[in-house]
Amino acid sequence: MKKTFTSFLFTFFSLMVLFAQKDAAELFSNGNAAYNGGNYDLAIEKYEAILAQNLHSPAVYFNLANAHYRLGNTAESIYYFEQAKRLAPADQAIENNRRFAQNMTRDAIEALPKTQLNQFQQRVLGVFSLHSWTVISLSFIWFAILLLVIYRLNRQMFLKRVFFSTAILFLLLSLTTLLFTQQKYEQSQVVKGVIYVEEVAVWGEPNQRADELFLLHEGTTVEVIDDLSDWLKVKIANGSEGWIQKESLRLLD
Amino acid sequence: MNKFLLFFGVLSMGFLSFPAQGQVNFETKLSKKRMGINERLRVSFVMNQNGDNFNPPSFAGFTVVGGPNQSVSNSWVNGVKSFSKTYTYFLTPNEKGTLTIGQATIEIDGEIYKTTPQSVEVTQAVNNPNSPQARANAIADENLHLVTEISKTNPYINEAITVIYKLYFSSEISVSNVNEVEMPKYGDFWSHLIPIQKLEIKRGEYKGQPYNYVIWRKTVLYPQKQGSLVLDPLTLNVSVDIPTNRRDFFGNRVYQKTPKIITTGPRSIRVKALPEAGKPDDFGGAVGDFDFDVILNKKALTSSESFQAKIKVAGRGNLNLFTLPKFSAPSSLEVYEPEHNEKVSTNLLGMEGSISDTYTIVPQFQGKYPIPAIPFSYFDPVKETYVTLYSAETIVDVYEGPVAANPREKKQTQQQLVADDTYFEFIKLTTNFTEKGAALFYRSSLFWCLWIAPAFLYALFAWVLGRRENTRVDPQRIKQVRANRLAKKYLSAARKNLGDTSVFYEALERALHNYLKAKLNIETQDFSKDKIVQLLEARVADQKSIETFISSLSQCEAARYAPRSQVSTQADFDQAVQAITALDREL
Repeated sequence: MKKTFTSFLFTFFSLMVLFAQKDAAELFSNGNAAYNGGNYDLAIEKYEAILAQNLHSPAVYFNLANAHYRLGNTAESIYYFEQAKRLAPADQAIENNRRFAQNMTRDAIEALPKTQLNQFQQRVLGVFSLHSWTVISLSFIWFAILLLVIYRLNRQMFLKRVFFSTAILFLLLSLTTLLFTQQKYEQSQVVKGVIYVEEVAVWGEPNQRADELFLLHEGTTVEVIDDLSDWLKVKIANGSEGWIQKESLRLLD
Repeated sequence: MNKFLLFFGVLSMGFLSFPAQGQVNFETKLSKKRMGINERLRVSFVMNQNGDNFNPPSFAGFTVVGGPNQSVSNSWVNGVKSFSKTYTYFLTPNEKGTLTIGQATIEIDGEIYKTTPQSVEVTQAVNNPNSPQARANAIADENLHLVTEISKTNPYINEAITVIYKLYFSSEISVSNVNEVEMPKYGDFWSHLIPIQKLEIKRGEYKGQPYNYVIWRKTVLYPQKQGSLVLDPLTLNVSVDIPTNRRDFFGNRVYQKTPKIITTGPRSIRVKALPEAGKPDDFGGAVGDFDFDVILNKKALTSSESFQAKIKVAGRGNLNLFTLPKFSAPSSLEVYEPEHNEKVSTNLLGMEGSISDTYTIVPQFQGKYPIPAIPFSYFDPVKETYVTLYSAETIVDVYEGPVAANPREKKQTQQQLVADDTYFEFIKLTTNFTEKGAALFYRSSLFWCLWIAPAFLYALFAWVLGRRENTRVDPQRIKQVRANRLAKKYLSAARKNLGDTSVFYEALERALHNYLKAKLNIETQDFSKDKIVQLLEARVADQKSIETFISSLSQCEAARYAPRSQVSTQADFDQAVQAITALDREL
């Protein structure tokens, strides 16, 4: 009885997800039509409805950000571009349009220079998403084991040697990609946020008795590194750190 | 007037005693040593010989109201001639205290003579109602009034107030020759004097009586400090024509001209500070009633063009006493220093007009630039509230030009920037939805299982394989193993007997034969070289390794019949090892 109930529940939920997918696809195309017709408010409404169903995709975030950009909503536009980038880091279109949105912000923050090695690493990591890296790493190790088995079964010396060295190569590749996956994972664990209020003061301590260090404006992306009650410690691209009040920031999820 | 003074001067001469002729005498004579501030002082400089180039002192602290009058008298008394020449001044003191009449100089017969300075004590105003002067003063006081009219005595800081000075005089007297003795300085105010082109006599009422009046001065003041501020008095020196009881020949009333100093007295204004409650953060001190606007001359342009933003405040209030709000724009716009423009006129109600800052802005990259709403706050003294106005938020569209690029791409030349990278991309039309917040595959237990599983699987595989190999009973294989062992054994026996040639070669040959037996599964004892070559070639063996093997064998045979040197045994052993190794690789 219990088993049937569980299977019933399972079918029900998978059907729900299926329906939701279909619904979302419809909302998505409606939103796109509204966007193309210049009705950006309606487009935003449609895209938000998809997100409200607990579904997302880089394209939804991207289109939503574009619509906000068209309406001149700086913070929202940047926020959704960052969300889209998080899901699809290597997408050129997202990066291109995000730069347009970046123009709307009032803060000009010069990013810290990156070393050649760092840049190279970023580029390599950016090629695949976290999930892809995980799958690649796993498939490498399985392939390596398969080669080892062939090596064991084979009797010919030359072929044995070829299979053995290839297996070792793939084992090493698998470990390297696992390392990449770990780094990618660590990057994805960094909490980021976008300033949502027009202007916010950054303080030296998580209270207002301390010194006011500098001002940030709407649309600036910050990295959250610490928190204390109503305050968040943030780091901006040029390496400066300080505390801001929680409600002035919207965190990426 | 002068006639009268002359008469007075001559009259006073009579009482003066003159020094003897021949001795030059030049002195200052004062009508009094002590006087009230409202009285007049007659100063005479008397000489007993005629002189030239009379030079009066500066009369610091006094105002000269009459003079200089010059009188000369010659008299003969008992044959003695006496001469006197007098310069007379009439002064009114400007301040209380001890004032000094300085030295006057005169040149008589080429010599310069000086008087000694004399001091006068000026005290409080004195009442002397019986003198004709006092009577005139009394009439003047009754009929002449200088009034300060202040539009608001308890204004806010920076609220405009108007101060009008009116000179009231009744129709009984007439006024002429008005000049300002003391002009008020508005220390704690921003002041603007409204010029009066022509004094006009108007009819009005003062304390219920009909009066004529003249608006003497109009000033607009903006108090700059809170608290009780004192307006300095305005003091006028007026010549008043007062009617006397006398009539002239034609029966007209004779008027007596009398100078009169008239002052408003100080007035104080209580200035209220602007209320702290509800004061906006961006309040810049503007008080009045304003309109605020930010005007952009273009809303769509290319990046090679520039546009202008004009921040304009228009209305009535302390227009040039506050700063305009700053223009704020996205950082990627280049904003230049503004040009300030004022069109302000001041009238009785205060300053009116507009002030503006015009910024020139140059976009560097294409894109949409929101110009944020700029707030402007002012205090409305009528409603007694703060008002904050916001300019409309606008978006400037730069539709052509380079795209904002990261520094790496900036190094590229303009031509290398291809068109596909310079526009705002259209939305994406296809997508696959995933569930939000789905659990990560990486670091999940499934992931770790899949990661560890191959190692286990392989270990299992290796174990099973090993077991299968061990359990399999294969006589051929056992023989092979044995042959290997034998080959090793004979080779080791050969190595032991490296010194003993005959034993060595016998052992070596046996070892080679045993090896072949084991490797090729040959049961026969027939080990002719031809047979061996035949067998090895059938097993796809390398021709070279076969040759090595055969040569090794033939050397063994040859050595058994022809003894060799020690050195060659070692070489032959090495060759045999090589031959076996080479063959082993092939088989």
